[in-house]
Amino acid sequence: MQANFSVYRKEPGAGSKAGRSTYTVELPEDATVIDALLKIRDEQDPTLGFRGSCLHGYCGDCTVRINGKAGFSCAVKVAPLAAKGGEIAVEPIRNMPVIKDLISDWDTFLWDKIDVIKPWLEPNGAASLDGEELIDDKVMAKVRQAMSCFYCGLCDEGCTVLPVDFKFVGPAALTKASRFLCDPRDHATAERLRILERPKGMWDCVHCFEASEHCPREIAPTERIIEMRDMAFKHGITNEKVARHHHSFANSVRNSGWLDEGRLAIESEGLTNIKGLMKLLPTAAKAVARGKAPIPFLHHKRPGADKIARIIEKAEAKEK
Amino acid sequence: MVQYDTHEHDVLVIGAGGAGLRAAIEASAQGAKVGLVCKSLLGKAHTVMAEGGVAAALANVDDRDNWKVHFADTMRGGQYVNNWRMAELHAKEAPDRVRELEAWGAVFDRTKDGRILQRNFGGHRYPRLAHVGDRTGLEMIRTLQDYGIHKGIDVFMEFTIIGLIKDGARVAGAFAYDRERGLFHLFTARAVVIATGGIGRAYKITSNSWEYTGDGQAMAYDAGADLMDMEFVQFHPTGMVWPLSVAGILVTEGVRGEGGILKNKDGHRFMFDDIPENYRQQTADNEEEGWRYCQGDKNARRPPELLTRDHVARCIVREIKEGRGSPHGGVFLDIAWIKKKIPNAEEHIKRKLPSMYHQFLKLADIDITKVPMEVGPTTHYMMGGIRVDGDSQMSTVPGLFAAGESAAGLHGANRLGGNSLSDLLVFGKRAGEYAAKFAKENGPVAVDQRQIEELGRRALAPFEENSGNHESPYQIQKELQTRMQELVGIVRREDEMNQALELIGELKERAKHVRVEGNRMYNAGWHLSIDLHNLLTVSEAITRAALVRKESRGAHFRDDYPNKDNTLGGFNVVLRKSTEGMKVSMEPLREMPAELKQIIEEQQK
Repeated sequence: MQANFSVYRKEPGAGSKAGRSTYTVELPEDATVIDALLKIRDEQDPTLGFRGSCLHGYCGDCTVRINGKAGFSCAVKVAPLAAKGGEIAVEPIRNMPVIKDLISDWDTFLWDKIDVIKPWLEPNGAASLDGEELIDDKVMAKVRQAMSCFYCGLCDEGCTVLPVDFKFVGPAALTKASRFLCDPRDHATAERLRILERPKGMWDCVHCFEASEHCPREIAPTERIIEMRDMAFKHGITNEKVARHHHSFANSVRNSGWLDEGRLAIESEGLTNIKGLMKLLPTAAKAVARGKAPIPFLHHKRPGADKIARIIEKAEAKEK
Repeated sequence: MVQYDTHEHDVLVIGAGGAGLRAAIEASAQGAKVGLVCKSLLGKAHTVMAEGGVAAALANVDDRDNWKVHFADTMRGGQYVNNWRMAELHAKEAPDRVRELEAWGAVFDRTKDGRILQRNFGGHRYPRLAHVGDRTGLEMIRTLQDYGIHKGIDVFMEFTIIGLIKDGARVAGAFAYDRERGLFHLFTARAVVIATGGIGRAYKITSNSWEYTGDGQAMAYDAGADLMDMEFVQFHPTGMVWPLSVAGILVTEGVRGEGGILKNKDGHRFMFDDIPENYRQQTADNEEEGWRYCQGDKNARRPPELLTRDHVARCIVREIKEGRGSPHGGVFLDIAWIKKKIPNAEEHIKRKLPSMYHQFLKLADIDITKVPMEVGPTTHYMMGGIRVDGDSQMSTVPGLFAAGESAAGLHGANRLGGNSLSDLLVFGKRAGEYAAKFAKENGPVAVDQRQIEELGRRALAPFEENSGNHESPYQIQKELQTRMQELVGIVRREDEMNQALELIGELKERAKHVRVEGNRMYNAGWHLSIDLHNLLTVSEAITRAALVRKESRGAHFRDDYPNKDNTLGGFNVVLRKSTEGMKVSMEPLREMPAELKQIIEEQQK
């Protein structure tokens, strides 16, 4: 089988310009993309840079974009792509600075972020060297699922927040945090949630579910992020804009049966957050000028508000 | 003048697999300032691929198990050329190391009453392998890595050591380059721990990834340390043989532990045909009993598929050589057959062997819950390596320690599955502990500039090569791998190994003319040209050791000397650097204490 590749190229260093190299390779029928890359490097172009360790989907080292879709170059077969004709495009994964060619910088991408979330167990004392702790297998299923993460980076690759804000801690690090949050042997839950509550933490996720879509191990990072936010509410750790927004939203519907938009805006920013409140002023002024300002003290109960309050009460009782 | 950055530590650990991480954690816990250097990204080391489990006599599943049985199993598996002190310490300390790992966050699969579950494995008398599905290594490395971050260890990812630096007789650090920029780095340290893993890349068919080029063994040898038992290379009986691009990739022994059977092309279960005398009493003589063993029946004996790896590998080679192999040159490994025995067999297989299920589905388009796999032997593990003291893991060079696969002794002539993960934990800890102690007790080191210049020059030579008959590093590696596979593989002969030695000599000469293109930044061809020295050194060591062991023992099988020789069984083969090249000597085993001898005798009953 003959296949044509167009591979992203970039020399290390800030000033270097990106480009592409094209190669034609003769490959066995069952070859994968990394077989092609290895063959190119060994026989045609020894300067081609890419990563790849185990070569069979265990280590997550060889993640790249192939024809625009991120995956492991060791697990994607060339034949169906070559059959379509044209060139097979191989590029580095998104959301990560490129060091050289297909090699990305994991330090800023993942390691620095994982460091932030306190990635170790703070045992509650039950586990000891002398005897093993009795653990119910079922309770641990969630921890185990998270532990099967092998840092392939696909969830962060798919993340829709990272392209906008690279400092967002990202789904991979948040999954790691979730692993400790759902471990019954850990006693640092509140401390962890306070770390995650900080700016660029769990509240910056926009739950687009791309992370869960991308995860090859079905770890469901997005669902885990939603769960840790619920956990934060349960622990009363809600001093964050999005959390305050949630709170205000629920309170408004509970008290008046509908949304008090003015109060929502003010409470989301926080009553003591002068800077944030000042930012609301121009919008508020414009709204007043057009006669559309939602004035909090003019907000009134809507008819049937009591019924709505009872629905909320029932739902909350069920949760508990 | 060679330009470089300098990094100062009390203890430098080379390699960040299980052994390296465990050593770094321990040295750090002892108060040492620790640097950890790894060739690829943290967490991608081969420990991550270990599937089956970690062997420790916890006796959770069978209360007859204890350290004595584990010790005797390890010695028997190693054909009694093991370092008995290491086998003893390993068996005694493995349970604590496993529990400790759980205290740090790992979660092994549980028994019904909530204790650590253990599974059967080749050569282990009782179910002994604590495991997490078939992802045990991932769990271990992730736990150690997380805990290591907690301990504040300095990690240098994608750094590679070119050679060790010495201060007189003592080790003083190491000289390295970083892969990203290609710059040189001097690591000074009062003690160095080598935990670089194996040598698989000296062979063509291997389960090892590109990093495993014998770096640790070669740098220790160059620094004057003894290598030992290098003739004992483990060929894992079950690697994938198809598709070609993934040939050699491991199929866990766990498949056989869960009831998988080996068959030839005629559907015959050939492992019953040849059961070695010293295992006959412990091995089932009919299929029914073998199945009951896999189901946890304590009165049943293990099926012959779970005999030691060396024996199973040779039986498979025999079937293939005699024309009874599978279409792609292997034999069949069948786990799907258990549907005759249990309901929901497909679900059971997917739950117990999830990685295997996905591996075959993805790479070979085969559903292992429905059809048999095709498997054949693959170069897997180096039993030999750097000769160390059993208690401290110090090599024959003061201040230089080794642990895990790069060290020799624990496994003797053949390693039992599951004993490598426990090896990493037990001896990683010991190496870290004693290295920190050594660093505390010994003063600062002085660095000899000439050694640095020499290593720097050697590393950069491929950029300056212009002799006109230059070579590609990939070509040399390929030739070495192909010929080592043919000439110093599973079945060995004197004339073939002499050919191999001749070839290694030629390749060494050719390696001097290796030329690389491009610049120093992330240049894989350049990296390989530096690794070639290590590959050639360990290949020579394997061949020379295999030539003088004129008998068959464990993983070392000589066609021209097919039997065991009791006299040779009393010696280890030791290799040392001398002015005339590699010096080979036979050194007698240390006398085993009476109480250990007695344990072995008792356990043979």
